[in-house]
Amino acid sequence: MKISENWLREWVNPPIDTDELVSQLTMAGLEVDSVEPAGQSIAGVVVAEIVEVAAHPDADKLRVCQVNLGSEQVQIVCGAPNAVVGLKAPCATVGSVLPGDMRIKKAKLRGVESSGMLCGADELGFDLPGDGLWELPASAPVGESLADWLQLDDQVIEVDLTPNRADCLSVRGVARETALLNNQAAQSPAIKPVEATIDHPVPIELLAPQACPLYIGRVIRGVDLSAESPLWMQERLRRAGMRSIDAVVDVTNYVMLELGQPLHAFDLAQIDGGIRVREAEQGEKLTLLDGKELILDDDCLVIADHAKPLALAGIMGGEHSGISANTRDIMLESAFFAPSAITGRARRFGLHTESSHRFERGVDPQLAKQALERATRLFLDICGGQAGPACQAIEEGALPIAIHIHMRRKRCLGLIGMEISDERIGQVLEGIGCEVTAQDDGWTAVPPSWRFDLALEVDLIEEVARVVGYENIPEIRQQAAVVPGLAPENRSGSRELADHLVSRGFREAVTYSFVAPELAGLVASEKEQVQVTNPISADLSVMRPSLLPGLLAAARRNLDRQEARVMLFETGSRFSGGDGFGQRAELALVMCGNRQPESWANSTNAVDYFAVRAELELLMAAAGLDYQLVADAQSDLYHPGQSARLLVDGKQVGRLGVLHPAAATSLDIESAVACLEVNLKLLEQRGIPAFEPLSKYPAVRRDIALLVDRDLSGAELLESIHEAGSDALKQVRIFDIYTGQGIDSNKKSVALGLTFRATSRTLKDEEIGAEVATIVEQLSQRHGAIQR
Amino acid sequence: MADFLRAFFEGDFPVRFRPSYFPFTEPSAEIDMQCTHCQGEGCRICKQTGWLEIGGCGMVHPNVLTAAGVDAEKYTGYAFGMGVERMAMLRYGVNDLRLFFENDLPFLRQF
Repeated sequence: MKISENWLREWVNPPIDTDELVSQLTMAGLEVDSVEPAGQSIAGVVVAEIVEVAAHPDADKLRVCQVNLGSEQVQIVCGAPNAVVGLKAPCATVGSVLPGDMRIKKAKLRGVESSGMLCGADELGFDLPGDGLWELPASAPVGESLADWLQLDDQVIEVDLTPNRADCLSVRGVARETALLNNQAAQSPAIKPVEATIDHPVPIELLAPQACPLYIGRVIRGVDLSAESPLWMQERLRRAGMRSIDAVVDVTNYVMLELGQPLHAFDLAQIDGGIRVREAEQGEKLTLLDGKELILDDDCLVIADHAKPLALAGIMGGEHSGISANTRDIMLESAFFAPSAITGRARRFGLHTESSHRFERGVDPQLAKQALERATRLFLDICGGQAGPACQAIEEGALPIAIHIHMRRKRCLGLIGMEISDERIGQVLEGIGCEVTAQDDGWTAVPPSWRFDLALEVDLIEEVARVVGYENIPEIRQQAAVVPGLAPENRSGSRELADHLVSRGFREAVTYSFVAPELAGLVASEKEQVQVTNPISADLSVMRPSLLPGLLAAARRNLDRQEARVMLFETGSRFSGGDGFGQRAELALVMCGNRQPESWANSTNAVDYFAVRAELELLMAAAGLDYQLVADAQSDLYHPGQSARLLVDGKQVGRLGVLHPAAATSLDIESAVACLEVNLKLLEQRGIPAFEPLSKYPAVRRDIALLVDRDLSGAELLESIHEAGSDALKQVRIFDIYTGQGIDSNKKSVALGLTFRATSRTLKDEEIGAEVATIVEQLSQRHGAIQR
Repeated sequence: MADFLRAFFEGDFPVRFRPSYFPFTEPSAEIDMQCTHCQGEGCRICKQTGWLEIGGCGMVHPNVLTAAGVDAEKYTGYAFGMGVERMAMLRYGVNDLRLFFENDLPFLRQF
């Protein structure tokens, strides 16, 4: 909310400058967003009166004006069509500088001397309706500096209010707060009830008293709507960021800004019978002032007459009953609407008005009468007319109830964490407008009718803390006993995991949890996906079923930006829908391009299954986990022949392999890509070493070559060898694979190095021979292997 | 909070708490620290205020504790939150939030 500092200081004027005032408000929870001067510098611009107008001898559109500047009369050539004798307008005198660095000098315009410039509002930095010269009211004092007359020596303070402080959405509210912070009293303008001069009651029925327990209406007849609102009012509205529209709108806006009560004016001629405040009928139609036609729901509150709805209560008036050029008589409304009856309704129809903003948050129910009287007075002063009686309909029982809050001294001081005297606390509670009663253990306070945010003990404690000042609360460090403690050795954090992967040449990526349906489709069918009900965009409408789609998109982005080798990983949640609905933490990594960075010493092989498998092996070794790899990852994402499922204890915990060529095509990736995804929880553990005694006896190695089926995987072969071998078999290495000449094209020759060693003795030649024979025999039975 | 910020930014500088509003804390505060760019003089980054808004905090609202099955008479709690990207931006002088989600290697390699 924007308010003029001068206006605020009419209510309360503490002996502090603007900076201090602003900092006080900010530190009390009314954050000041900006402080701007009320107008641009217009020194040298004075109120002038045109006393004579003559045609220019040499130009059709220019006129030669004699202008009274108070101290002197000057001749000014002017092109504005509204330059007529008797008009008062601002005049920039010779030597003045206007906004935009425009310097006013003596000049000759088509041969006629001109000493100064008569100005339009826009030339002085004012956004006001009307073209040509700024037509100042007749009361403007000729010769006076315009800046002084308009009181432009003023600041516009913009306060960014939190939603709980609707009571500060007015000059009165901010003044109340300023007064509290400076231990002063705020002065409100004298508001006297306006005596009715005509007898024209407004019949009012409250048909939804819970939503609207108080409604006051008043008829004003014979108003002159052509009257303009006074400049001081226009200026205050302008400084609050509102444009002057007409006297009716200006007055209702002015009173709302001043006191905080939204008001509405109806064209009396359009009201049929009387006012009924009721819930809308489902499907009822109402065209608003802005021309929008609404189809209402039955939880919307309307102001209606005996035939039709007139306005959407507390939000916006209707077009039909609005003030028009033909309006002669008006009905002014001032009411209290319960926040729960207004909240969300404006938004449902794409509306947000000054009125709905206030009613949604709560408007002081005790303000309605006062605001109505204030507005009536202003109306009569500006537009004339005859006021009828203020007619009030009230349902006392439905008005907000005053609550008694008990605040305990111990609780208050304990939560704030500092000593505050009873006297000070009492002063704060009274200062915010509470009725306070001292108790043995603290206070009982009844919050004022304008504070909708005070209901609990903590709410009052916050008020005490806020007014005493957060900056006065001491910084006290937590104290705790010191006990040595370490994280369990078998746990590893994601930090260690990230460090490990970074040391392997990966970079950590962070991608969105939402992905495009096409990307999600690479991993999960539509049924298995979790759709977002209100997606930010169609591109982000599915919860990621795996981290890989996002990572692959990030990889492609890098490849597109001339990165030849991309290695990325990410940890985060993946989401599955359907029967397995839930989320799980996962690690995923992608490798694109060459396996090793470009260097004279490195190979130029592209990444493949073995590259990603090597990464898996390191991860699993650190976690101390035994695992199996089963060929065929069964997914559209992985290459059928170059991928595997990862099993631990027979359960699938991840997948790895080369990206499926079709997926690579759909992602528009041309380089080789290998990826891995693993359940993160598994990797957040660390193997604790179990000591084995060392052998003092020599190891013996035997190399054999076996002819096996070409599609038998190395993993499977090694597993069978370990199962067939005894405890003495310590290590098996595949050191060569041969296919080609001399071998059946469906077979391959695998060269294996077997290392044997016993703990208690040197193994004999024949023992090892028998062991090898057993292994070969087993492999022959299991895989049809033939020793070469 | 003040100690955390001073540790995170490795400096000794003013930190202030401003009353604010969050539905889940009462009392609530915004945490401001002295602008890292101008040392409180006022600059473009801190919108001439000399302060940077870092996060929100407060004492956990008793309704929140009660809803979580914690006796609000017996226990109090504090809550705080801040944008990690904003913290990283201020710490390392990163000038665009989007960089954190674009995953460009020239960016990632710098950290």
